[in-house]
Amino acid sequence: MTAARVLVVEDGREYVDGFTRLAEARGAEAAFVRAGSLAEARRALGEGRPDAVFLDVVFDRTPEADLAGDLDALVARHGGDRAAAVRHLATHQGFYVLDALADSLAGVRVVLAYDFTGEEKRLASLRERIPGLSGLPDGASLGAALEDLLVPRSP
Amino acid sequence: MLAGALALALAAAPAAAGCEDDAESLAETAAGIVAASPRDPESLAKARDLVRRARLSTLWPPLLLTLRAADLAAAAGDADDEARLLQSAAREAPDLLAAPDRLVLARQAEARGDRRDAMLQYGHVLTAQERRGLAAGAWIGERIRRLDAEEEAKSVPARPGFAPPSAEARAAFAEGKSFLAKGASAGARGAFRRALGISPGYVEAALALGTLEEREGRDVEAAAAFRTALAADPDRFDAVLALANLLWNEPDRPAKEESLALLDRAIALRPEMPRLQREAADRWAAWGDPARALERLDTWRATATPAGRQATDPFREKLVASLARPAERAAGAEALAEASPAAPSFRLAQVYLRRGDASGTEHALRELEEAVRLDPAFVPAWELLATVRGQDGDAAGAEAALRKALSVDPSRASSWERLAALLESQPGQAAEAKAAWQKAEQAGSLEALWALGRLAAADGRELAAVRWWRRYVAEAPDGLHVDEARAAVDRMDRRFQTLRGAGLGLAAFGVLLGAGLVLRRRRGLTLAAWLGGDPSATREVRPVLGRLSHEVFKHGGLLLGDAEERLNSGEDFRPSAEILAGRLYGSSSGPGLVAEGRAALEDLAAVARRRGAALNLRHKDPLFAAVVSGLDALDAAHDDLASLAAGRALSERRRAALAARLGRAARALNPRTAQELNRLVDAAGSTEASWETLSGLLAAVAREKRAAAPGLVPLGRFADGGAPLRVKLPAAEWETIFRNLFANALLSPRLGLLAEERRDAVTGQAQGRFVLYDADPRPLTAEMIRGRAAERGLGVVADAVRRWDGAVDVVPGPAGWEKGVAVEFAVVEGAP
Repeated sequence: MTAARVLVVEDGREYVDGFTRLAEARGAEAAFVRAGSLAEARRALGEGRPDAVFLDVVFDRTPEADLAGDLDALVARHGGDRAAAVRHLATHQGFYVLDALADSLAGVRVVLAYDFTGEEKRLASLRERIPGLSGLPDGASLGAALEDLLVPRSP
Repeated sequence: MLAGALALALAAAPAAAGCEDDAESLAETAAGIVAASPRDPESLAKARDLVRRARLSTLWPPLLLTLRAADLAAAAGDADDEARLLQSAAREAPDLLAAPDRLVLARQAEARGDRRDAMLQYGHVLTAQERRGLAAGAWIGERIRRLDAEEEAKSVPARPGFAPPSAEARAAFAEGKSFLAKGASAGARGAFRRALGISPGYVEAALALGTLEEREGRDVEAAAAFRTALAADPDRFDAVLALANLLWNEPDRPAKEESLALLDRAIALRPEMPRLQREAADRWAAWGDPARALERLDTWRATATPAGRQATDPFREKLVASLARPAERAAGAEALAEASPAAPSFRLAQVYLRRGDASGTEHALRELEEAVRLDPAFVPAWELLATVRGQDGDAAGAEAALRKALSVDPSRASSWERLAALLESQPGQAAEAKAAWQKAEQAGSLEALWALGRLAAADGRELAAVRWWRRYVAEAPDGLHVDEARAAVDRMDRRFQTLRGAGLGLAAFGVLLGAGLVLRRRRGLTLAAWLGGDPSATREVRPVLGRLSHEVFKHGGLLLGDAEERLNSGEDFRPSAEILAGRLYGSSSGPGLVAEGRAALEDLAAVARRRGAALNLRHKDPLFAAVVSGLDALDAAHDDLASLAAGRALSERRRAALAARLGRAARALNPRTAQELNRLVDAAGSTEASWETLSGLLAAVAREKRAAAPGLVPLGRFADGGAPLRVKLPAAEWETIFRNLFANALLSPRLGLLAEERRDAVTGQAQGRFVLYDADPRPLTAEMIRGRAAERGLGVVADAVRRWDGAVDVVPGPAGWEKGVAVEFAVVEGAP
């Protein structure tokens, strides 16, 4: 059986290390590839289509230059406040990476580390572009997240 | 175009032979004279006189006559008269003038110093460009920005006034401190400003902002922040002293006069600090009042060492001699009253820096270089230049500017502070940095006390460090690092006490602490009760809860979700324990969930304290009591988890106890708590955007302005009768925004108000978009709104929009409307 290939996009290594150890402990056939930014994620996608993608949302350790998103437009939207724009990009970075990769994610399971409880319409609107997207409810365990990545979901 | 208009005018002007004083006849005669001798100055003068008479002969001169007069003025080379006449024509028929004419008018307005008119003309051009779908010329935008800055700079006083909260004035103080700890001063500034905007009485936030602004050379902003602190607490010593020092460096006399009064107030507040008397003596002497200087100097000498007294003998003799020569005093005072020639450039630089973009910084740099060229002794410009250069990564340039500032005024504590901080960040400059901190301390810097303690601790001189920090805590009770200093002093005290075997004091402290805890169980507010009474606090609370949600609820769930079950199953838990120990209690990659969670709770309590509320999250708040209990359970699990991670086996009993603790923590950090907290904040910090409320507000604004309320047409969701959206900002802020939008639109004969729900294209977040359309032909651009000062009209709107993460824009109106001001905010999904 071929190991499932999972791309983990995060600014640290918390998720990828956790998934790797947990998968090993459970004997799950999975290979995890980490990308720390949109550029790295694109490179990883260029090397082969993953079975699943996991994205963190907050990238507050990423250098400003590596943040995905139109910073100039955001600065304008924030009335010229560059710091606020950068803060917005960092705290929503998972969404921006997702947006930039959307066209490459057709047919791929995507888990975004965001709890959409109470914002079902928001999730639905994002699914219009990324049908394989699901959120990660607060309180969900790493094991549950791993299962979500490795086991195909019913539509 | 004007020549064409003149030809038209001439053709259109009916002949009126025999009626020489008739406007048309006069115009025709003038045309004849010009046609006969088009280049003859005398003919032109005669023709202009005739046309002028023609215009005066009628109460409402025809437009074409005005254009004809303008053309003749142009032919005669009288640009001023040409501009005046074209303006008159433009008022009568805004569409008549083409963009090139508007540009000519704008340049002429600039030449005569009428910036507002120049901006108006440039605005017309910009609007016309946008309407045609053409990209707005960057040059025009830049000109408007420059003119607006120059206009605003006029209102930036050399002696700062008590300005209301500025653009980024309402953020979480705790967030600001954490930005500051990371060295992110722009983020810290925004956060402190937001904190102040919500509650101008937050003395700590005002002081923190003032200190930050002063360090970055933004003296006007710093002074405004210190004044805010003083408005809330007039006897706040550190604010009094900081403002006194700041104003002393201002170029004009009233500022220095105020500075001296403040310094005297500081002395009255802290009579035990003789160095203030010494400083006051110097300043009164510089001011030209030797009598007061002598009085302060003698007070200081009474407590000074013999060497100190001896060192000041010449100064005292000079003061005594000056008392005999009153004329010298007046001369000195007059000399000080002269404003520096650098002041205009300095003011303009500050305005540019407020813009916060790259081009603003470039302009500011140029203005500052001009300022120091004009007056090399103008210290504030050197300091600001150092700041800007430092931000540009030019450390050597920044250091040179600071050293220049200190060569002019070596008593300036803020310059020493900045130099010390700069040197500390440079490799191999530690010794010089320490010397600079010592100079800063001698100059009266309180933050230097913290820094010197830090340096002493790094050198292993713990007793010296504690001495510095004790002074810091005593002299700067609300300083930026006072919490850290207190904690460090406590930590070292505990260590010293342990070494001495003195447990008695700790026991007594424990008894007192216990009694205090019992009392605290009954006091304080829950989060819901606090936000219910202070909904504006949600702006500060949201990011803290967001962090708590991300760090504790999400990561807690991920880490702990199945830990209890797996521990009880007897599986090898070592790999999981390694991950858990690192993530829960910290590692090189971060402080860990428990510390992050506790920090978030502390930040929440700190925000409440600064807004005048005391929270009781641990004992009284049903939601947070569970969170605290979960964090406590994780703390208690630390040793056993560390043992497992290190490969040591636990007894069955300890393993079961560990499983129970992790299970308790997992249940306590329940995702439902996060959802409840979000609901609570949404309920307190959101507002129903109803048609009834807004139309009623328009009527109220019109009444207040004693104007007739324009008719208000419902559009979009307001017309469709869709459910009202619930915007994520408190009612008072929402009302403020529309109060200003309506007040600005009262001249329009009618207004349209549109509401619609949108989704952010990237994040999918639900957004409410509200557009106020008008039928007023006066141009308005988003650039003009964003460039406004925060306390003026539409500037208030731009400011509120920034603070509440919204957006503002000016959009072309649909048929029947000229334009619309669109504001957009996040809305609560699923509301109402």
